[in-house]
Amino acid sequence: MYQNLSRKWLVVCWLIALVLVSPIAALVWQSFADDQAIFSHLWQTVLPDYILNSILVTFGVIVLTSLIGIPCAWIVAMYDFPMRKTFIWLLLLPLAIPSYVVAYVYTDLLECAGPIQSLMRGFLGIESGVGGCLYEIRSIGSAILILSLVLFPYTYLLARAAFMEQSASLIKSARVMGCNSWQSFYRVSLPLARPAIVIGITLVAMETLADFAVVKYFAVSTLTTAVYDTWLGYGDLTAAARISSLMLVFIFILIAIEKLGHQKRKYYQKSTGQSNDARKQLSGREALIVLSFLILVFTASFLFPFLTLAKYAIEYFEQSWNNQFLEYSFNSLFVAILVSLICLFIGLLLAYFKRLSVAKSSAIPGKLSSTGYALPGTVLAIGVLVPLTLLDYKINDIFEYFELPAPGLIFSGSLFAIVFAYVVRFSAISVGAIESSLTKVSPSIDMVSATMGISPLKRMFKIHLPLVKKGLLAATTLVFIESMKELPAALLLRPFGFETLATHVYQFVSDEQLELAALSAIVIVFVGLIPVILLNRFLEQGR
Amino acid sequence: MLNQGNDINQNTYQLEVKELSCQYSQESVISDLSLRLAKNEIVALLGPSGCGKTTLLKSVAGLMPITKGSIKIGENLVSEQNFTLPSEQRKIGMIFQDYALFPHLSVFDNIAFGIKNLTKDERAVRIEEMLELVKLSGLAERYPHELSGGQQQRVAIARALAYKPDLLLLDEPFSNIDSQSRSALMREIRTILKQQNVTAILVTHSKDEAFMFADKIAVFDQGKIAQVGSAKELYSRPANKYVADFIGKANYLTIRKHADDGVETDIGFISAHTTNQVDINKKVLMLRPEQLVVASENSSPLTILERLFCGSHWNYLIGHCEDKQLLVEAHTNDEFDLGSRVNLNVAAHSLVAF
Repeated sequence: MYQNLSRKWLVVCWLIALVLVSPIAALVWQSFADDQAIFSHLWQTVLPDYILNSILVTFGVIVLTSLIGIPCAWIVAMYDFPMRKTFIWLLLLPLAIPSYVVAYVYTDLLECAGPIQSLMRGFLGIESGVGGCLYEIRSIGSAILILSLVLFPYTYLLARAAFMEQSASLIKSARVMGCNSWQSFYRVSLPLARPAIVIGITLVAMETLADFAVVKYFAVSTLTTAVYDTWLGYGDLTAAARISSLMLVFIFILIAIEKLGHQKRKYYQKSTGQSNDARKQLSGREALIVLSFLILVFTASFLFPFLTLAKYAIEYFEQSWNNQFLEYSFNSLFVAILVSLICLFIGLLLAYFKRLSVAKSSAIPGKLSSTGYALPGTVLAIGVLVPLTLLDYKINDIFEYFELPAPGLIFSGSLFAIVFAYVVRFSAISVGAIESSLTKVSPSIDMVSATMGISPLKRMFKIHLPLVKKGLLAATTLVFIESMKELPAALLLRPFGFETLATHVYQFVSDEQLELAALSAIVIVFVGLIPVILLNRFLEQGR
Repeated sequence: MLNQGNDINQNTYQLEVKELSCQYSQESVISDLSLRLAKNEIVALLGPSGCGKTTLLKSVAGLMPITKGSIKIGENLVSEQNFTLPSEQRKIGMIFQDYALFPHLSVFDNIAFGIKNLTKDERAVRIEEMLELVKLSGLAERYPHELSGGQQQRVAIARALAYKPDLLLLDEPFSNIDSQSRSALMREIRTILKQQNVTAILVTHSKDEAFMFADKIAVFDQGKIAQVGSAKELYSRPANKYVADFIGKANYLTIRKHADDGVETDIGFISAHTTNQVDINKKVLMLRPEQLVVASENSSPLTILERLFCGSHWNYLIGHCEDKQLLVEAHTNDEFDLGSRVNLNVAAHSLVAF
């Protein structure tokens, strides 16, 4: 709508956007700098294998998550059976559990010396010891399995929404035209849901590509671990930036696919939701089969790892409940709260700017500031380090020039780096959420309040904020939780001696001592459950 | 339009739009448009979607800048090139298709929103008055989602009238109301507006709404006003084919010869009312379906091709000159079988030709 916005507002919004997009720009810029021939060395030796590994893992996870997620979605969307409503949200819970914790738990279970392999060897009569290993847990296959167990809810969620939004009359008319249940799924429902499923799959692919902890744990070298090792091992920012830029190419391809999916989805999903009577009631035996499948998926992906974690947490409570635990919790909380407040402010500013301004360009700051979300944590960390170290060097140079004592790495070596990185990464959540709740407020509401003599600022406080407060709350909570969970960026950027709950748990996972950090892990899981519950409630209301 | 000579003082116009042009990102939406509204007059802007009527409404409301011309509300200049008085200073009310009620406020608070300058007691009195006016007394504590569409639109009317705007703008306000209650609501709101002496503009694409609601109708055609007048004027004396077709059904007959007392057409001679005022350059005569009277005539070349019983009348499609067709509306008693030969007569009237 038309509004005379002050120039100040415009400048501030664009400035924020440019700062938030600076890590990506810095990455690309740094890639062209001179390096110590490390990149070309890596390129000639191991990097092609790493790329192949990244692609293999991603592809495997896409296939496996689809095989788990789409059937689950179809079942809960189309059939009625006991506990259907419960399973709708139970299947979302795996999103809350850190993937490296799941990896740890399954390693205990499936490794050579673990109970399953021992049992199998007993059956098969194979000697334990050298050559007695039936399955090497530290492998690409394990990484694919674990990541799929944790990530399938994305595919499930989007496919479920797509199936549920499909008009019941479409399926009815397919039936009338002679399709049986399977044919109507294959010929009507699945093609209609395809754009949504594509979005789900690209999300899964992005998360997989960004995964650091699981592949590192299973000793699978991928691009993320390469970035990490290049920086921490060689200390070569340029080489790290080059590998990161390489990942950016993959990420941008995925984003393009996702955008395409969103565009198509608009045309494919127009009708209103289906009525309850359209769901088919399953008979006792059918219900049993369906339920066993869902229970298996839920147990494998959430219940078993969670219970194991809970058992550890209880058994080792005495050792875990100490000052360190409290300190790390406080660190995590502090960073998360700070970041969510900053993101809230940025989100409000940019989203409101877009709404009020008539110029088409006003949507750009919001878009720019959202690019950080697609960056894998390791890549983002390198992207943040580039401008911050440059800034630090310049500051130190200036101090030296005036013969003052050097202040040290005040940006790149402090909490500032972590907070900045998190804001870059998570402001997309708040901008997106606030923008989308604002679009639900009809533009005529703005116009009518304008004609009623209400100034834009007053309008924001009396009309828009009350109307979008749920969206604000949800956005802030999500940013808070993501900040609590974020691992790779924290690993690379934390100041010396600074630990968050996530880095603490990861440290113990890689030291094969998860038991001692189980309490922290449980806290992360519980915090992670909040958005899942919120998400589910939001979806329930949407229907 | 209304301005016939200088006999009317300019100050009596409640809205004066002069030579207005508007653009949406380089594309001209309205060009060189003029419109005037007298006090207490209700004017409908009628036209298909995308013809610029909503743009005109928005520029009057100050929600859109204008590129040329000027807009005056009462005696205040509110828009001209490079100047747009903010909406909040224009004293206008606006009603939307989606009602635009504040969903987080009760009916009472919605209406109170625009009258914060009144004291608390005055406000309560005004709100009570307004609710009574729109027949919603007793629903003050309800929230918008607890009301039907018609009730919500009444609240919107009450809210807009509460602060006594100089001009009320209605943007397709009845489109979301179900068809059973639409005409009743329209009649009711028109009565309210007349009773409160409100000057109003209604934007609509439905000719029925325009006929029922407005004193005058401005027919839009691609960013311009094709004709302004009362419903009767537009129907019986449309300025061009576009208006004739938009306002009602029309038949066109080629004029073969002009005469002093009428014109010669494909179906015979049609007499003018007094003297034939049809310009010699006009090529086709327009006849509304009910102006043609059907009579049985076995030797006639005209045949009934299709017929449809509509309750209050018959619709006949009559073929003439091999492939040409005429639509005729006949009295219920005048029943003719398909294929029967008929004659068409037209009473002498003031002819309309293009």
